[in-house]
Amino acid sequence: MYAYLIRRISGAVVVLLGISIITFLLVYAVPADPARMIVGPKAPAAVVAAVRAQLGLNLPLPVQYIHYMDRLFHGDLGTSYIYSLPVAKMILQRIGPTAWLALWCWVAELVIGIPLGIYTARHARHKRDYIVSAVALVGISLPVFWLGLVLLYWFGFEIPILPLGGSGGIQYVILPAITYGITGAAYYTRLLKSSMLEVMGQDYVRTARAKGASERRVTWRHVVRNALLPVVTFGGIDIGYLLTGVVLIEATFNWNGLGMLAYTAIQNDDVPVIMGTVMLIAVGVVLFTLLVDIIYAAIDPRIRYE
Amino acid sequence: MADVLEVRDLTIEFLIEERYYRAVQGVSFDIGEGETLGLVGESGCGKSVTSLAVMRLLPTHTKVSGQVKFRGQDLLKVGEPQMRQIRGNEISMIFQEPMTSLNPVHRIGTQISESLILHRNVSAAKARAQSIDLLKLVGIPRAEQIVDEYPHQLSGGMRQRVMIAMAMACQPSVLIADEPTTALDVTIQAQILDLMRHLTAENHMSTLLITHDLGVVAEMCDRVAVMYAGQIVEQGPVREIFRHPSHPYTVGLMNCIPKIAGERKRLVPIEGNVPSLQNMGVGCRFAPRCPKAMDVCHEEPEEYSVGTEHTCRCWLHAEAGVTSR
Ligand SMILES: Nc1ncnc2c1ncn2[C@@H]1O[C@H](COP(=O)(O)OP(=O)(O)OP(=O)(O)O)[C@@H](O)[C@H]1O
Ligand code: SF4
Ligand SMILES: [Mg+2]
Repeated sequence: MYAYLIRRISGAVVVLLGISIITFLLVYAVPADPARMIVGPKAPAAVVAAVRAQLGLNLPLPVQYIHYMDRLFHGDLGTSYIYSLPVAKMILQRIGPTAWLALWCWVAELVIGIPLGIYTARHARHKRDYIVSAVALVGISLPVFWLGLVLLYWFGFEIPILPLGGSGGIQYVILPAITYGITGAAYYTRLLKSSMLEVMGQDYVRTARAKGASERRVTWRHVVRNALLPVVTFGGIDIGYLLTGVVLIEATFNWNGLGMLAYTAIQNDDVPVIMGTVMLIAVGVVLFTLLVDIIYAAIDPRIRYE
Repeated sequence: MADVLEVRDLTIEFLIEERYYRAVQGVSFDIGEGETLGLVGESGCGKSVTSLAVMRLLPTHTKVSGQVKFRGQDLLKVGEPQMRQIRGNEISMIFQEPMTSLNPVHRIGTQISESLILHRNVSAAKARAQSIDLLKLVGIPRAEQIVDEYPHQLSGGMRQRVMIAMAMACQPSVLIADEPTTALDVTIQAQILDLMRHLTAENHMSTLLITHDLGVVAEMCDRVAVMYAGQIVEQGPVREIFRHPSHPYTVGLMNCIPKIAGERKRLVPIEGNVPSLQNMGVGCRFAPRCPKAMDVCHEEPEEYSVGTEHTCRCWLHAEAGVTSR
């Protein structure tokens, strides 16, 4: 188990280093000149040059990278061109609301997707499977944006039981989470169904039946647990992506989180903010993938003892 | 000898691409109290399918007809809940693939306990204690530790012992062993067969032993049924059949066993292939490969008596008269 953990963690560290290099190079991928962005379009060339020197932009790239990493380790993500605020502070304020929203979006996906997966697998190739699968497929193809507005109209306006957008407690979360759940659940449904069908054909399932176990017992004790392995993997990666996918949800529901921050930063060419959010989301994805590996090991003893 | 299991005219048809194909046709056999019947035949002749029909574990959409009487009760007619009471309790099964027949995510003890909990209504703690005893019974060392281990930590031979322990848990009256040693290497095979012989004798179990190894039959069985392309072509006491193999297919199988132990004689396999389900011809199914085929073989032979309790499905023995079955 420890050897396994050490292997996974060192892998994650290497990936994070790679990500830091890519993010660092992002500055050069954007046409905007940082010094010019800071001093404004009307400042004389001499001022721009002075700022460039001050920012260390004339130093060789590797040296710049080391400085960048050094600042990163001290929690300094740079300063926003537009708001002149520390990026770290801007991000920190929004991590909470975004994590809160993302968590519920994910829960909604699982709560809708997993039972449907089990249901469709148990009734595979029967009418009930076809109907449920078709409905789930419709869900997947609905635009988040449109579904969100429809739900807002009905439950915020026509039957005003929920707030009309904005960020906050659980009553603000319900609609965005349901929206995300409906559009994402089908992935879990399909994945779990195919995984369950595969497991149902395994020899050990036949063994369980030969012991006299009921279909219900076979499903819950022997099939579901084995079938959940790929779902756990997907779930972890998905929660990482959710940090990015939440951008659309935040925009639709006017939720003041990371997504909105990144969205406005991209519109304004606010490179330090873009770099900060990208870095954070990438770190999030890597950490969740690592978490998945650990959960995976907890579910599947074969991995644990490898 | 009272027959514990009586199979009559068992016919099994699979649905393949909207058509039914007959995998097993008119199979009949009996197994008496404490008796071991060997079921032999080449790959694909329908041995596993026959045993799964007895357990009622074939896929849905499979047509099964005939009778499978367990102590006089036709299992093909009982309801599913009642059948569940029988599986793992009165009739147990050991499968060919020890590597994949155990659930990878459950501990050994949990898997053995399952039958006990299902059929004996015992507490988890008691089931665990009994599981340890069962592991000891099947000759597993360090049973107290193994009970908490996972299948992947055990070798193939050990896993097959666990399968046997699982099958023995409720002291069934019928044991079906589908090629229990095929996947194991030779020394382990002998150990597992030894263990099975002991356990079945001690518990007076009736056993259906499926194999394609006539050596195993000679060692383990009282009677043997030889299967070819979904039918039993010859059936009788083991000694009788080894001394007087009557069906040309059985004769062919006998020629495949090296005669002198230890010496590696060249095997003489029977030429040709088993007909597939989709193109089973009319008449004797062995005719295309039979060295003695005659004109009459275009018609289907019945089972003829060729000795005491010894029957053979071949025109060569037709003059002996149709059996009473
Ligand atoms: N679920 C199924 N659907 C369709 N055909 C099947 C199914 N199961 C078995 N068959 C066919 O039935 C025939 C008998 O198969 P069976 O598994 O009983 O052979 P076997 O005698 O046990 O062979 P082996 O020695 O390889 O185990 C084969 O032709 C096989 O392809
Ligand atoms: S019936 Fe004819 S073809 Fe079939 S085994 Fe006997 S002799 Fe051979
Ligand atoms: Mg088989």
